[in-house]
Amino acid sequence: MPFVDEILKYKSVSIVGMEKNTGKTECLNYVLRRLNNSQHKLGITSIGLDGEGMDQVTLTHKPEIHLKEGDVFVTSEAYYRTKKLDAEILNLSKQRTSMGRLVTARVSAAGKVMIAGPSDTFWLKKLIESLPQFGVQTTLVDGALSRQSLGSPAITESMVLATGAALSANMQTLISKTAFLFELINLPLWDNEKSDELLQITSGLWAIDKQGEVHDLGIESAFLLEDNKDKLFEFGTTFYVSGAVTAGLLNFLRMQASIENTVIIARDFSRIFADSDSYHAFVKRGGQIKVLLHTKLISVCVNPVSPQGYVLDSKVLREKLMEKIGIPVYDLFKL
Amino acid sequence: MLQQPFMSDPVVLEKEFELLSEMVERFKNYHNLGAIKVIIQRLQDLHDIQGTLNNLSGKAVLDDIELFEIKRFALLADVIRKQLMVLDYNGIVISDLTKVVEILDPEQNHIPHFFIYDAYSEPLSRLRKKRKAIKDQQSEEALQIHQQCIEIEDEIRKKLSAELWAFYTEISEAWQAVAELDFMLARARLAVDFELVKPQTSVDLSNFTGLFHPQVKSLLEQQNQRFQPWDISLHKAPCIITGANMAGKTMLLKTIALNQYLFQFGFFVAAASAEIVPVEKIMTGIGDEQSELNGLSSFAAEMLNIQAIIAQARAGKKLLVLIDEPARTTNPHEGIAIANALIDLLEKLEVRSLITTHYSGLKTNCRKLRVKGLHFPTNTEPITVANINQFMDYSLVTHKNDEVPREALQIAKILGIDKALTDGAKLYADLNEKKL
Repeated sequence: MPFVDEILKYKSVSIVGMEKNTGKTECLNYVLRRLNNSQHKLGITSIGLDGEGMDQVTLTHKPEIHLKEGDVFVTSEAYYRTKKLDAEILNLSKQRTSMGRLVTARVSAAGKVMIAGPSDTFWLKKLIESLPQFGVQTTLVDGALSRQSLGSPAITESMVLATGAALSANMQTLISKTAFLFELINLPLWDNEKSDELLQITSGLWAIDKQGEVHDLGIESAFLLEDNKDKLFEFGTTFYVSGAVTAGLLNFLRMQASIENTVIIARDFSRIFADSDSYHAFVKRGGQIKVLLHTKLISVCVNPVSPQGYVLDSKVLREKLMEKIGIPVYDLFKL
Repeated sequence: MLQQPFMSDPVVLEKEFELLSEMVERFKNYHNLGAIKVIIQRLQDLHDIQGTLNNLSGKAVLDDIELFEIKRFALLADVIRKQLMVLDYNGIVISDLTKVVEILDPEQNHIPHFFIYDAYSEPLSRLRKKRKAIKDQQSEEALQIHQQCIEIEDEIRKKLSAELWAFYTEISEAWQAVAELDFMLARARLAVDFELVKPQTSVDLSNFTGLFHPQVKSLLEQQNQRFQPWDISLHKAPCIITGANMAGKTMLLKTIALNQYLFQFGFFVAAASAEIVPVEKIMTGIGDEQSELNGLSSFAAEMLNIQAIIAQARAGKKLLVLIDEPARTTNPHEGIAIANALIDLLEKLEVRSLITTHYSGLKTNCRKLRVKGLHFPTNTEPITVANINQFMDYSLVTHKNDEVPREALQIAKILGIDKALTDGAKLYADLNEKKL
C-alpha cells in the first residue's frame, strides 16, 4: 500500500492538486479505498469551496468522495442534505460559510458525499483540532492550492501533491513546475519564538531586527515596493512578508548590496508567487526564504492524462520526477 | 438582549429586581460557584435554533439537522434545569424537556448526536443489515434496499416531527427561559463585579446616595484614585446645577442618565442606595448636536432637541430630562433669557429635570445645587492638571443666590494656557466688574 501507511502517522494530511484535473479527488478516493478495511479512524474535510472552480449557484462539478462506515466528515448543510450515505450528526457549527453551517457527522452506512469546509485557515485549524474528540486519528483535507483561497494546506502536518498532464502536456515543463513547487514546500521553517506573533499579522511588510524586535515598515504589500524603497532597510535585512512574495520583491532584493544577509520569511509555501527564475536567481546570490508553517510532503501522485486527451508516458514521467525530487511518485491509475 | 424592554411599570420592575437579587445572592455564595460555572459553560454552547422553532410551530417535517438541533438544545436545557435546582433558584423556570429527549434518543445514549436510529424501526434495522451484507453496493438489489430504507426513514421523520409538534410550547418556552437566564446571569455578574445595588422604586422623589459612574470609577481605581460619589434627589421639577469648569457637572448628568437606564432595563444601579421613580422616557441634551449633514448650527440643533422635549412634556409623558448648559451657543444676553424661560416652562409642566449652567442671573425660583469645586491648599503645592482631582470637591451643596462661581480663569491657568491670554482675560473681566 504505497504511501497510505505513511499518511496514518500524521494527525492531518492535505491532498492538494496543482491544477484542476490533476487527479486530486482520485487521489483522495484512492486513499479512502485503501483504508477501507483499516481500523484507523479518519476525518475528512476540505479547504473552503473554491478548489474545483465549482459553480456555487448550480452546486455542480464538485466531485463526490466515497466514505466508509465509521469515517467522520465535515461538510456544509447544503451538501449534507444531498449526501448518498447514512450518517449520525455529531456537531453543527455556529459560524457560517457561504453554503451554511458546517455539519460534522459519522458515516453509519457507506456511500458518497460532497465535501465543503471552513473558509479560513484559523477555522480549519480549530476544526482539525476538534475532530479527535469524535475518535478521529487522521484528518484528510481536500486542499485547494488557490491564490484566491484564504485557507492554506500548510496548516496540516503533511501533504500529498497531485500533479499531471493537466498542468502541462509537455513532460519537461510538467517536471520542472512540479519540482519547483516541491522546492518551495521544502523551504526551511523559521524556528523562532516570534513565529506566533508573526502568524497573527495579516497584512504588510515587516522587519525583524538583530534583537528580534518586529517592526512595521509601513509598506502595505510587496507590490508597492517601488514607492517605498527608502524605508526598507531601516531595521536590517530580515523581512516578514505577510502576503504574497512576488518576483518583483525578490528581483529588487537581489540587486541590493546586502543580498547575502537577506532573509525573507513567508507565511507558508503557498504565499510564494515568484516564478522559478526569480527565485533561483535570488537564492544564487545568497538570499534565503524561510516559512512560518512547514508541512511535510509525503508523496506525489501523477495523472498522465490531460483533459484535452494528451497522454504522457506514465513510467517515464514517474521515473524522471522521482529522480528530480527524490521522493516516491505514483500513478494512481496504474496501481 | 436587544429584545429587553424599557420597563416603566413599578410592579414589573420590582419583580425583576427581586429575581435578580436572588440570583446575586447565589452568585455571592461560594458553594454555588460550581453550578454557576456549569450553567455559564453550557450557555456558551447554546446555538440559535429560532429557524428550527419556526418550522416546528409551522408543523413542518423536520430534517436530520433540525432534529439534531432540537435534541442538542433539549439536552442542554436539561443540564441547565438541573443546575438551577442545585442553586435552588426558582426565578426562571425551564420547562422539563425529558420527553423531547426521549423522542430523539431512542437508544438512550444521552449524547447530543442524532441519526435515524435502528431502534426506531424493526424493518429499517433489518433492511440496513441486509444492505450492509451485500458486497456490491451499486448492485440493483442494494439500490433497491436503499430506496426502501429512505422511504422508512422519511416516515420516521414525519412521525418524530408530529410527536415534537405537541411539545412546541415547552421547547419554545425553554428556549425563551434559557435566553432570559443568560441575561439574568450577566446582570448578576455585573452587579457583583461593579458593586451595584438593588434599587427601590419610588413614586414622587428619586433619591440617590453615593451615586457613581461604574466605568469611570474603575478607571480611577486603576490609577489609585478615588471616585467621589454624589448624593442627589430629583423632584418632579427642574433643578439647576452650577459649578466651576472641570467640576464634573456633565459627568453627573451622564451618570444619572446611565443609572436611570440601568434601572429601567432591570439592572442594579451604581449607588450606595437608590430610590428611583420610573419614567416613560429619558431625554437628554448633552454634547454638541451640530450636524453638517442636516445643515443645522449647534444652536438650531439644540433648540430643535429642546422642542422635542417640550412636545413630549406637553403630551403628558412621564419624563426624566437632563440638559447640559442650555442655550450656551448663542449670545449670553438672549442665552440667559432662553434658559430662564425653559426652566419656567419645565417647572410649569412638572418635568423631573436636571439642568447645568454657567449663567449667572437665572431669576427662576427652582432648586439650585452647586458643585463645591476647587479648594485651594494652604501649603504651596501648585495645582496642575495631573493633581487637580485632589483639590476638587465634587460634592453638591444647596446654592442660595443666582451668582455662579467664577473659576474659569483659574482653571485655564492650571491647564497651562498662554499667559498673554489669561492675563488679558483678567483685565477685561476686571473692566466689566467696574462698569457694573
